Amino acid sequence: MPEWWLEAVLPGVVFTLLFIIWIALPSRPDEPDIGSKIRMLFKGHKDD
Amino acid sequence: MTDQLVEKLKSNMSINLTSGLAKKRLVGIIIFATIVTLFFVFNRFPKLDIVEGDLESITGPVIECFQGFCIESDPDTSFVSRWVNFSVTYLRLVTIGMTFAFLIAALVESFLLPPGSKPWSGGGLLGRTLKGAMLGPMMNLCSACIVPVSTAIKRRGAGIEGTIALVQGSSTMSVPALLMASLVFAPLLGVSRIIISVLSTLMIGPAVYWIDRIGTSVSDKPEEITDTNLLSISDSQSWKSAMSEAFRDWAKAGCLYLIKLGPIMVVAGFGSGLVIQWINPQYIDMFFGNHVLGVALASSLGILINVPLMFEIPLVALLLLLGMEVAPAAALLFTAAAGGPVTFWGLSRILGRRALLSFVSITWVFGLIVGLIVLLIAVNVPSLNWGFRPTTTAIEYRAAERTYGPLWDAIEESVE
Repeated sequence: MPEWWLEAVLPGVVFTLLFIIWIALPSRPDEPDIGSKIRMLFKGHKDD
Repeated sequence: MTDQLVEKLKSNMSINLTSGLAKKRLVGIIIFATIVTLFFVFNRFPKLDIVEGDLESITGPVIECFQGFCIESDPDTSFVSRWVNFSVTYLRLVTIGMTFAFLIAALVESFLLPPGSKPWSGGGLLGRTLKGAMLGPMMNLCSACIVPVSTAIKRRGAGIEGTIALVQGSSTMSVPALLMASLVFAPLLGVSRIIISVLSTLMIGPAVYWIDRIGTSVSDKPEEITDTNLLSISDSQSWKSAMSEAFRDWAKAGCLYLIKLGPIMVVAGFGSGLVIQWINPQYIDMFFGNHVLGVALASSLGILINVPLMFEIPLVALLLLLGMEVAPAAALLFTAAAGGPVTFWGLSRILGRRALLSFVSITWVFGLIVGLIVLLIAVNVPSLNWGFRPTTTAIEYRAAERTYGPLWDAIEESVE
């Protein structure tokens, strides 16, 4: 395994997980953001 | 009377977890403790071994590169490739620290001090400074990696003074760095580094605050965080709702920190990498002697570079071996750790222009002051004028049959 794998993999995994959580969890009603827009795209309706 | 007192004490000690804020803080503290433990065990403690290895590599017969930095340039490699190689290695080395910093910064904004919580701003100028100064060494991050965390606490009311105290506390008052500096360097350098680190952590923030306040209207109140959501603090909230809200805030803040600060840090990291390439054995004797100009140049060099935590120790040790004298070494040992392009560019988003310029200037002045004090001591007590413990005499190198390389040349010259 290359020497740099941890430096590349750890942040990649961490921030991918954070992005998924941002999309997966519902936003506050008055807080539209990229995460909630992507979530709406997936869910197909706007009553988030 | 006693019963009342006992009741009051009990109510103060009991944990009321009905509010969403209390739930978030409890979980936030658990997550914080877990992440910090993992970070220390897998990254910070091994770093002590890395620095020890670096010190061995620079005191060997041929000075080897350490953490991407090569003092002896290979004639086959171009300036650009050395620059890129160092910068990429630097970014690799700070990646884990930076990931930790983004996670902690986001954790502060979502769990520990969520929107609507009582802000950090209490305690006045001294209180905010002390909070930053105490939290800093716990973070144990370099001056670049601490930027996201300081941004988060600034948003929660730490003020300029608390923010800068956190940056200085983390980068210069890190306990492993101070211990390592004390072990590696002779007392003059080690002690000067400890004293200037404490003073800078406690004094630079308030000094920048006062300079920033000059010229602003007397009626202007110090910045206060307005609580837009105070009702939610006392309102009861279910665990599911509080955790869903907090985890989403954490994820969102973490991603936004990465997007906003990540590119700046990469660009500034390359800028810092460019400056460090100008460190050349030929210039060390010429510019970094025990004189005021040497101290001023060393302080400036330190301000212009960002280095991973504790990197400044092998760097200064190497430069001492190559002819740098103790006064500029003291200045560089402090300013290289205290801040650099990544720190200043990152903080430019939260500090005003005047505060930022004051921060840079005062950090440089602190480097100058420590260098000048060490210069005075070194000139008046010549027996103390040697900064690196393992190189007290050249005999050790002769015994180890280290008879070639720039280190040997430097020792030969000093013996002659």
